[in-house]
Amino acid sequence: MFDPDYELDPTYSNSLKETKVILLIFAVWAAYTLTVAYQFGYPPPRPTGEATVPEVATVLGMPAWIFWAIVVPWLAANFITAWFCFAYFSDDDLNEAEEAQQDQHSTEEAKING
Amino acid sequence: MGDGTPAEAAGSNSAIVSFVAYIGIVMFLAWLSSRVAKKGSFLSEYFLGGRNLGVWAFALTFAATSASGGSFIGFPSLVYSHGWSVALWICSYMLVPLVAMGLLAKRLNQVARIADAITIPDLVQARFKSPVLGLISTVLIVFFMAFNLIAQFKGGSVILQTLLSDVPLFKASAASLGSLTADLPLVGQNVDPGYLLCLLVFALAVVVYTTYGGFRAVVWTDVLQGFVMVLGILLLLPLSLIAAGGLSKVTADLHSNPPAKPAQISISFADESITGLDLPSNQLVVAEVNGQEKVFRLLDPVSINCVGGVVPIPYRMTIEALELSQSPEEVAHEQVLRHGFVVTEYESELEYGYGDFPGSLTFAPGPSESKSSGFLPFAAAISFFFFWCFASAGQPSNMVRCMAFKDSKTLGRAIFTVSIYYSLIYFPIVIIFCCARSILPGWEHASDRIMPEMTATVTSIFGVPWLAGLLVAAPFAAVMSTMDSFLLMISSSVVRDIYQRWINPTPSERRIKLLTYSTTFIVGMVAMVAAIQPPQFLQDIIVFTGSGLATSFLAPVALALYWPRFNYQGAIAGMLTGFFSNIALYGIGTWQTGSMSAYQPMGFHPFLVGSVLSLIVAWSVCNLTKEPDKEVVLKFFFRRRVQR
Repeated sequence: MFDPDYELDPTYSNSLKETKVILLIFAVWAAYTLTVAYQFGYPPPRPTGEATVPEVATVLGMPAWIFWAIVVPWLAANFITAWFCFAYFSDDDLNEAEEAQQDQHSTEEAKING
Repeated sequence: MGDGTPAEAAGSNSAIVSFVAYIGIVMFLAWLSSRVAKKGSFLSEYFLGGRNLGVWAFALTFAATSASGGSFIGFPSLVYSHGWSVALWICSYMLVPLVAMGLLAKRLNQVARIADAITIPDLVQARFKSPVLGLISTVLIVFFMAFNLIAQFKGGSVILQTLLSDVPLFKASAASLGSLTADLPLVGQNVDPGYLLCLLVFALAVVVYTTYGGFRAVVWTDVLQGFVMVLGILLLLPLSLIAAGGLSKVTADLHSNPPAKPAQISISFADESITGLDLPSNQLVVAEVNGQEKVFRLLDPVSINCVGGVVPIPYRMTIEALELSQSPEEVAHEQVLRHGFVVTEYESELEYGYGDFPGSLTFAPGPSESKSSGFLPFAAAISFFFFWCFASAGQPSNMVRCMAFKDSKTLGRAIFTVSIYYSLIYFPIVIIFCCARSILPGWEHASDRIMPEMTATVTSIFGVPWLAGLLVAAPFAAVMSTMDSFLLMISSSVVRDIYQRWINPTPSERRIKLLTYSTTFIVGMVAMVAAIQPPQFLQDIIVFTGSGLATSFLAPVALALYWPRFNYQGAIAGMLTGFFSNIALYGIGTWQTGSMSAYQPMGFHPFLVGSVLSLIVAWSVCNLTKEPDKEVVLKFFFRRRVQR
């Protein structure tokens, strides 16, 4: 322990925990999206001369690779964001009370100074 | 500039009405915000809105500040030019709210309150007890923001000029201004009076309401601007899909039609019944090439008078045009003229770097005029996935917003709100401007105009020209919400981080008010004057400054918030490494190519390279130097144990 009279600020430790979860979510989404996009969105290199591009398969009218690599993870990202914000994210003290006191003090000072 | 089509005229008229109405509403909001009861010090109120933003205000000011003119002009232009692959380019916006707000916001807000910090240099100085570090961050912010502000002023003026180009009142006013300023040394004959008029109107409006209302006015107008943007997109989406015949047809069109190619064609016509031709630029014409009918879009106007044999029939002329891959029957929403034109000579001016074949618009990497690797090689896709999330987190203008929300609950709800907001904006824009390729083919030469053109055309198809007014307000909103925030960032740096820190630490409230108002106004005016002779490479400057700020600030600020051991030596080293690596990569790229561009080692963006270097150097230097003061660590990372 740094100092026996002090303990780790819970807002700091909660933020650190949340940051690790965010980075994990980012890594999972990046890995999925980029892998699927690379696998299905980038056709093999064209032979020189005539262009050969695969027929485009569609889902809901858009290219299938766009649907699976982008639309699906985008929708899933909204769900995981909702989970993070409403179920995981902690309601921590941000020093609002101390600041409100300071504000009151400075407002009074401003009144005195005209 | 314009082609004078009815669709464009309708769009331009509604543009001027919506612009005037919009400025009126913004001014009213600025006035209203100034009447809100103030608490706390003037500077905290003026630059942070009293740290009291609720969910909607915080969410929409964050979202609107991030969405600049690029989102409504440059991004649609990219989608139009490169097709579906742009969805991959932008897709990490699915995580931007979570990463950019969630990563730093809670700690930033808490540390800013503990330190009583109003600006990022304020916060950095308090965290490290180092005035030198505060000064370095001030200089970096002012340096990058000044460039960016000038570029945004130019961007806003160019958008306005594009939208108003065919309004008679605008043309007359621009001509009058041109004759008035013809002899002025700075302006002279070199500056387009139309551009100058737009710059004056746009810049004055933004500078006045920002100066008058400060952060609270900026936030209130951002909320309005945020709603305007999302409403515009949500209205345009179904109209575009219906007009284009559904998304399946759009994808099929994109798959079978490669981008239009610029060409120089010699055409002749022998129709003696024609007495004259007056074809505006951008007109579509059918011409026969080797017995096959092809569609061309004229890049220049054509005017011929055949009456009295002024020009002989058969007539032959050479025209700059774009050759479309669509057949005349496939062009459903524009008039295609036939005058019995026959192409006698054909010369394609451009060999596509990549993508001059069917299917290039539906698959990655997408077509590119200049790059043989295409628009989005896979290394670039990786870079941009990181770039949008982490560069947003590293922008001081976003960090300042993270210092202004009310409490943790507000932050959580705002992250989710922005997440839904971005989902409603960015992917729909991709769909809308893929539809634009079906509705308005052959605008590759002027794709920056595709947003107003699409707006005017679609609302004209459905007979609702009034709607064009709301839709064209979206780009105004996007540019203004970014400009006002940057303006305030620079003036806060000057007043708080330079004057109050280094010149007069205890000024009276009256003096500080006067200085704040005058600084905001003067900074705005200086940026406006600088934008009279606008810089080239607008979009490149915006990307350069965004990348530079993020590489300089992301790693040092993140480590400052989460690593108690992090000291000022590490912070200075990380900041300067990020700054110089960005400058060096852009310097090498510009030197190699002769135009502003970045050298990208192994295809990776300078932001990614600079941020990783900054992180490594900051960590290494910190570990090689002594630990920070115990007092500082206790203040920001610990709290006094509660006695039971």
